Amino acid sequence: MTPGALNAIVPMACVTAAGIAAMVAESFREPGEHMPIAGLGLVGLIGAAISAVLLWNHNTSSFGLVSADNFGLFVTLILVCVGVLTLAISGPTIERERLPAGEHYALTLFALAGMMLMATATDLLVIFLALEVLSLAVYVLTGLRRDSPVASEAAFKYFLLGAFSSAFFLYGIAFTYGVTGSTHLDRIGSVIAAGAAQETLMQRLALGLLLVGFAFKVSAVPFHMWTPDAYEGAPSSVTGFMSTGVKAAAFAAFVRVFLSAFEPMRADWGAVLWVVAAATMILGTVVGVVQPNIKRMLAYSSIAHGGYLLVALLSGNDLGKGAVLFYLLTYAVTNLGAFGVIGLLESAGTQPSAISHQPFIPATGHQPPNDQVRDYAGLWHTHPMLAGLMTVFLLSLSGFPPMAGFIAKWYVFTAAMKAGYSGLAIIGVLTSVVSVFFYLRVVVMMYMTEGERPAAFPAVPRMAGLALVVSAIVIFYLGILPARVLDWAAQSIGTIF
Amino acid sequence: MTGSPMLFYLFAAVAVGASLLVIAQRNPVYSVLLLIGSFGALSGLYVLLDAPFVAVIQIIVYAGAIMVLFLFVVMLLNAPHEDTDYDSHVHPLLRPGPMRFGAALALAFGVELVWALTRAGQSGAFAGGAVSSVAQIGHALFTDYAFPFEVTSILILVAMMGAVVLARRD
Repeated sequence: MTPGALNAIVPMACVTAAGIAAMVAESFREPGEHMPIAGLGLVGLIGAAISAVLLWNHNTSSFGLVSADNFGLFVTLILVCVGVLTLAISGPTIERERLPAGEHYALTLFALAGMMLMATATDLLVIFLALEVLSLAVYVLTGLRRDSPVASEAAFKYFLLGAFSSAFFLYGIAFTYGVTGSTHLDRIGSVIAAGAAQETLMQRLALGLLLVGFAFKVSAVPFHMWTPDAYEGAPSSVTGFMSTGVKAAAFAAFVRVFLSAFEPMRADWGAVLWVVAAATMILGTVVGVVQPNIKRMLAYSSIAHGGYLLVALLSGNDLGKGAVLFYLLTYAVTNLGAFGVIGLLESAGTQPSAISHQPFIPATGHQPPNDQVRDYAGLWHTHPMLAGLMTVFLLSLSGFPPMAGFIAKWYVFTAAMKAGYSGLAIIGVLTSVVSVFFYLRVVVMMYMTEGERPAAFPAVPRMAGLALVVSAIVIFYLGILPARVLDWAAQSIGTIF
Repeated sequence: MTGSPMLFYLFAAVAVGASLLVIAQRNPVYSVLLLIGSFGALSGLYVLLDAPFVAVIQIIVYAGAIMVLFLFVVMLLNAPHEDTDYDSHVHPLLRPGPMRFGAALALAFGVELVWALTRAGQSGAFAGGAVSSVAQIGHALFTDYAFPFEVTSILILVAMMGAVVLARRD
């Protein structure tokens, strides 16, 4: 083995090592002893970020299965942002819900390693393994609140449907192997391109099964049913993590598989994806309007954002591929910020002492989790800073200038217009306008309605507060001066397609 | 392989039929036993694919070890039995639902067994030497697939940790 042969897997190795360290640290922790386990994770993530930056433009690959091209590294860096923000905002949630801290951090880090692998893998087999690593970790994270029936139900639904979709995906890989004799994306691409004239039924079947598998993971309509339940039941920090991290990893693999290996079959998947993208945008927005629970509302918003990302993917031109990356970054920072605020406010409404420690028995006297939209009434009067930050995140999600969300959506729709998908662009703009309504509902609630609850907020932990402020600054930076990051995004797609 | 499509369809039919019956059963013990049948048929398919090692592993690991664990869990949990509302004196083929399927399945197994025995030695499944000998599998696993193999270890670690986190009492 030549020196440097392992370079491409260094970022995910750093994160995996941090995960193992977190696990070991937890097992040596005395009950009640405080250990900076999140700090361990942070060290691993910083290592991953540094190695990703050093690998930039080198286009290294390991084992012929993992390729650290700029595309994968860009997604890796997005995932580092996701990881750092998740570690920073999950403190209050862990303390309030009395979640096992070491396991929470270790599973988060393992999931991140799986996501990074999924974004850089160039072989369907490895993509599948990475998908399983991240999915298993996220299923468990969803069900971490064992005393809550809602969380158990959410984890179980997510697990069953996720396992089901994995089976679809694996079946698709098997058929692909049957058609092309390989699981490597390059070879699949060249075999399909060579035989493009006579497309077999089996080839279409393989394509369809893979499409279903991916659609489940990015929660595209009609495979979105698990999303609202899973997002509502999971602890807020975990919801933020899985809505951004899983999406980023799944879309990275989606783009890689469909725009490189299956690009010659665009005639087949293009029409299907058109319908899926349109349905995803419309359903996510329309159903989101009527949600009284803010986590469910953001779950439907997440479905709608998946639809915009599908539009960018479908456009398939350089602008569209760059738009996918930029959108993923923007969405990651914005959505994690929003869920950070939700996590902090949940802490304000729930008493830790009310939590029962009997597993699977509904806790008696458990206070409402404070996550309805009406619970945000009068937030401006009790906690102006959090209300202001939440406003920034929600407006960015809805695509208001000068927030980053506006630029991201603008690029997606421009790419769609250039690629000739003006119908999708129109649907996208219209649904964005409708979505403004439900984001603004929360904002109106915060500023113009008097709360019934007395102001009794615990102090915001320093780490979480800092992370939220930095996210807000990043959102404004990406919204006002997006040129540099867009440039990097454009560079990173140049290397593989 | 030079094997017969007939055998393939038999094994495949048994595998699909048994798998469908797994979810149609009301008694979990029957489900587990049917799952063993499905795994057995799958291992037959592996033999047809010239992969005797995988076939044997399928029997030993899945049909043997894992299903015994399943059975233990089902019995320890004391899963409730459905009431049987048929007359036990009626011939199995005439009984309702699951029993009839079971009888059909037994018939399929019988046919298969006879088929396999009468054609022993002439199927030629191993004639050209197995494609996947243990040595070859080992070689592939630790050269071409060394990295996926290692990723699997992380996968198992996550699964193990998840099971402990979700199941322990504190």
